[in-house]
Amino acid sequence: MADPRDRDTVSPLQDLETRAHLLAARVPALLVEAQRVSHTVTHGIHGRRRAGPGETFWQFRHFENSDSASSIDWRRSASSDHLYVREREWEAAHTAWLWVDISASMQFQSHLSSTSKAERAIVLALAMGELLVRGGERIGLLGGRPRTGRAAVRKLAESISRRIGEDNDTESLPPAAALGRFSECILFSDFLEPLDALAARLERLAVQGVRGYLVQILDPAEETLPYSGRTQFMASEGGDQMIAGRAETLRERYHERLTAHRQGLAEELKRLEWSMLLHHTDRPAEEVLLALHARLAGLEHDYRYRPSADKPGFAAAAEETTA
Amino acid sequence: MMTLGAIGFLDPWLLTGLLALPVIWWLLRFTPPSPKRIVFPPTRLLKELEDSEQTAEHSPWWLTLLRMILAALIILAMARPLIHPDRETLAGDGPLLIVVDNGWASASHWTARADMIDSLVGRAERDSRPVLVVGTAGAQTETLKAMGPDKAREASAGLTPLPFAPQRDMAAARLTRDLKTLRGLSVVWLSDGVDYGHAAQFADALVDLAGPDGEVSVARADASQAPLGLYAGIGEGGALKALVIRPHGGARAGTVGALSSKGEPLGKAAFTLAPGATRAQASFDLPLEIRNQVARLEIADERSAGAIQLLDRRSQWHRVGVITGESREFAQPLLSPLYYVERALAPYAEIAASQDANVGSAVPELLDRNLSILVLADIGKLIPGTLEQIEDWVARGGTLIRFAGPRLEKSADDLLPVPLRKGGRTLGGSLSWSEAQPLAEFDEESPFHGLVIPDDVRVHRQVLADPAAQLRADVWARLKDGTPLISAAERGNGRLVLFHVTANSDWSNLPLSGLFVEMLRRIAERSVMTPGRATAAASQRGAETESESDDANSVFAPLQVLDAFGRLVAPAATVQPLKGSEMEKTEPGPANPPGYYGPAGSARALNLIRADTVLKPLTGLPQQASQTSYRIGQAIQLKPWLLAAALGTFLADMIAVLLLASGVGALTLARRGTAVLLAAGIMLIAAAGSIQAQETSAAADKLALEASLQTRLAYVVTGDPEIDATSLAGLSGLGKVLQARTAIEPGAPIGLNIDSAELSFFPLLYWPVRENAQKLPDATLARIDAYMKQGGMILFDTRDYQMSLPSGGGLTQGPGAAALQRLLGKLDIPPLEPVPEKHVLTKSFYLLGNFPGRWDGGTLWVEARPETDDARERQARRADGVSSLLITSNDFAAAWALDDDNRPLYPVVPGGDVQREMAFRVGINIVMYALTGNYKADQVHLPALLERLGQ
Repeated sequence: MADPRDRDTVSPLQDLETRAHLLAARVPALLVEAQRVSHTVTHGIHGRRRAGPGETFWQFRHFENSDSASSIDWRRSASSDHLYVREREWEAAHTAWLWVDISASMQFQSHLSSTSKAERAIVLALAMGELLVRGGERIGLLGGRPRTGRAAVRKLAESISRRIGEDNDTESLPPAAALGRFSECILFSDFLEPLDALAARLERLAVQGVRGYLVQILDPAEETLPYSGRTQFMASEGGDQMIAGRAETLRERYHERLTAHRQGLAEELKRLEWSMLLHHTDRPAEEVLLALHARLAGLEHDYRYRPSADKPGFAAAAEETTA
Repeated sequence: MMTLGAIGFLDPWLLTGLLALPVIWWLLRFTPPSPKRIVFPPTRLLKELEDSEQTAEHSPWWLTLLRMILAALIILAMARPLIHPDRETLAGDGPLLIVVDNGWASASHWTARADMIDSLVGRAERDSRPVLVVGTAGAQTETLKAMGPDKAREASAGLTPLPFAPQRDMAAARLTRDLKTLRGLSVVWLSDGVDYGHAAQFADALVDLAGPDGEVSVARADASQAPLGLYAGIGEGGALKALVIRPHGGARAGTVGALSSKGEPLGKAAFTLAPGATRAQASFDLPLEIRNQVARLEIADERSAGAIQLLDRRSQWHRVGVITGESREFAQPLLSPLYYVERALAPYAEIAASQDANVGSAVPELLDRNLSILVLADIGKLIPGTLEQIEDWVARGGTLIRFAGPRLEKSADDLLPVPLRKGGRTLGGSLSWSEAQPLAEFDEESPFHGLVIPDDVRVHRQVLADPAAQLRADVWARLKDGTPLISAAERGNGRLVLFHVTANSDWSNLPLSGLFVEMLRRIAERSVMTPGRATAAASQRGAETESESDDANSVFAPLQVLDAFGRLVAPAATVQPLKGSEMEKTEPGPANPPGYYGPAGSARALNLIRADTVLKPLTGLPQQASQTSYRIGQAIQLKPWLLAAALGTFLADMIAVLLLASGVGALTLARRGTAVLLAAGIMLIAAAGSIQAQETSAAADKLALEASLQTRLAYVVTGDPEIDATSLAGLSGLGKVLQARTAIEPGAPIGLNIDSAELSFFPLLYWPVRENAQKLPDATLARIDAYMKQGGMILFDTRDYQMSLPSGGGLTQGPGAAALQRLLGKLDIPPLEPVPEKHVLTKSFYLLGNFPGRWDGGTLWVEARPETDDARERQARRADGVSSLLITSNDFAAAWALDDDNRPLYPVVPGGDVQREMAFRVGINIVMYALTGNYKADQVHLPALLERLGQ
């Protein structure tokens, strides 16, 4: 029999992985919008819908003087009076870095929710990885090695489970890993750490030219503070605790405080040109997954209603949850 | 002992604990309930908010209050509070005089008196005052002396109620005599609430005795405990009536019980006293025979001598003397005029017949025996001396019943309600146009009103009253044509009744009818004089005959006397004998307590309550006398109640704390509410289940009626709709054929659920076997077994001949047969054989060789005939030699099935009308076999039997 931890952590993780698969099966494969044209990107298998280095035929065009003679497609040219050049579709893969906060605070599950935050975060991360891999992108755990292909998701799951196993690496902040430029970075956490520390860490990621997406996963209880009477609140990490005589009196001010925290985070992200999605664990995971999918695929410029510009980083789907 | 109004504390020093309450309040106020602990990741955010709520929150004020109340309750309980302790002090400084009415009226609630005495003595003990305890009933001879409390307690324990009224006048005299010298007396009179005639004077005497320093208080029973008296008498129609009397009081109801001399309850009658009413009646509806056994009446739950009325034989029996002018009764008793009279009177009256044939000597002899009724059958003229004797007796209250007859017809004396015409009237004779007359309906005034007149009572001869004088008499019964049949007239206190026909069946068949018995009974009930009362009336009037003086002068020794609680006990030595003549006048007293006096067997009863007794309420008491009730002095311990309240408060506190700590929100409460609702729903369902069970039993009754009012064929419902429809159509088709051809007219067939239906109504059960039939439960198997062993017959039809392999004869061939094996595998099935030659089935109606159904060729199996004679005998005895089991595979029902136009529903295979006809014949034979058993088998013996008869 293996380490009992395996029994406790890995097999639930496998269960989460299965759920992530099921979740991803319902979402179309993700093509990360290629906004940044760069030669630094690794060649991938999915086309960028423009001519470039690749293997699949894209179009014939008239020969231009700048073209080399070897690029002429003689067969096509022979059928008419002009010279034609065969262009191939540009095929390139993005790298998407995923990070899941599995610190103690993420283990929180209130009576209002049927799942813990960490569980939801892992499911979302794995589902996202699945979608990205299906789109041909490379994925990797933040600070790990990116991979592509079918095994990538499994590897991702394995490294998450390894991280769960390693108790010391359960930090609430994303690691300051060295990332390549023009890659995507998707962070799943509750982002309840002090703003300064959080902003500093995010900035270190952002300065590497990484486009970032934050998914803030909160328990509904954390949003609404549904407690009353004499209550002792204990933080899950850090050992903070406080006794509220009448918890219900705190509700309004707590809400304001939480909103302010989020507002501050959003300000910071606006500066970094990152974006953030809010998800509550009592909502279905598909919601935020679709929103994230749309955000990544650059589909947000579509016909759907978008929130006004003064609330940057909040998607419509996530907006519904902030009741 | 500390008192605080009506509340006293036995351990008052513990009340200082109440001073600690403010401290407890302060402590409780700042000791909040332990908080709920919640792990909450954004606690950091919360903590930043925390500013004004720094201090620990107080307990909710109501929780603190609850705990304060809890503490206060416990402290109060520890101080042992008593409510309403006897805190009154006695006025005066002299001795305490307790005067107790210890007559019969106190008996029922004597314990209240005893408690009161005890409490009073206790009070005197605290005040260190001497005590005098005096009873008003009983001997007032002993000199009174004040005594200490212990002695007083002893004396009061010796004071018991006595079964007669208190003699307050004598008691007053004695008190005045003995206690003149004492001053400052505190007098408490424990009265029984009844004024026996000297109440006011007695109270005055007590006030005088107490003097200006003393005090008199009169304790009176509550209205609900006012004494009840009971009198019993014979009311209208001879019913036993109880009269409940009382001095005063509000609405009250109860029952009067009638008991035999052995104490067996014979009847009960309810009485209701309206508020303020002092009398109520209760009537016993008892047959006279039972009524005669009633020895005492008593008011239920009233244990006093006054609530008991002893009955003696006087109120029960009528003694009837019968005299006839004929002497043939000895030769031909059935023709004797007295035969019917005696028979009619025997159930409720004592018959005194004279052995003397001479009327002149028989009448005085009978009259000496205290008759209430004298019957003279066909005595025309009484001899002068006798006539006067009877006249005198009637004037005193006797009832004389005379029957007509040939002699009376010829000549009558004038001891008759109406003068008679000479010569009678004959109706319906051979020389007469008129017909024998029936009786007319009784008039409303007639005592016979309400009796049912039998249709066949006819009078064909009667004596006629002189029409001129008819007005003098009441006519109690008439013939249809209006002539009187029974006339009556008052004479003095008594009554003369004349039947215008004979007492035997010579002139009419009235004496043969039940009406005659009822008539005599009613007359007897109306007879004013019972033997005992006759003497009383006589003695009052002073016209004593020899026999009466005999009764009146005899001295009755006490036999059994009542004690105050209404128990019959042996008389004490002080009880005096009573003279018969004084019986009615004697007031029960110390010398003559109520009870039975006289020789055993014919003892007379002396009762406290008489017809004219009135219980007067105690009124006209002097102003100086204060009035109290018997309900004082009962200190109520409050400690258990306070502790219970504290426990309740504690529980409430616990629940509150739990609610606070666990944060039971509206959601949880709602969930609990749902659970409660669910439980209620389950109970409802259970109740519905029981209703359903009732409905089921009603349905079972209906089935039983349906099945047993008509002979019905039954089939077993298999659950396969097609098979069931075929069974139904088949059996009803067979029923039609049976109706057309045989004497059997079966009702519509009934489908039975083999698991639940009652099988015993059906002689034959058709059981089509489904291929997929499953094993039957053991209970069902047991029922089937019982059905077969008790003479039922089951026809199993596996319907699978067509499908079965032609493997020659065995049972286990087709799928149906296999199913049958499954069905009945565990059943105690007798050995089977194919229907043998000459089996009853082959000849029970038609002569048959084979047994086709829808298929032709399947074997019909029956119970094998036992090999040994012994076994055969047993089978014959058990089931009349009839096979309890038939098994076929030929699908009979399908062959019998007819539609509404009597066309067959299924083709027969191989086919032909002959096969269908044979199938019906098989069905008829089977039904005949089931219904008639081995009757046809016995037919073989017919020639032999005829031959034997011929010899």
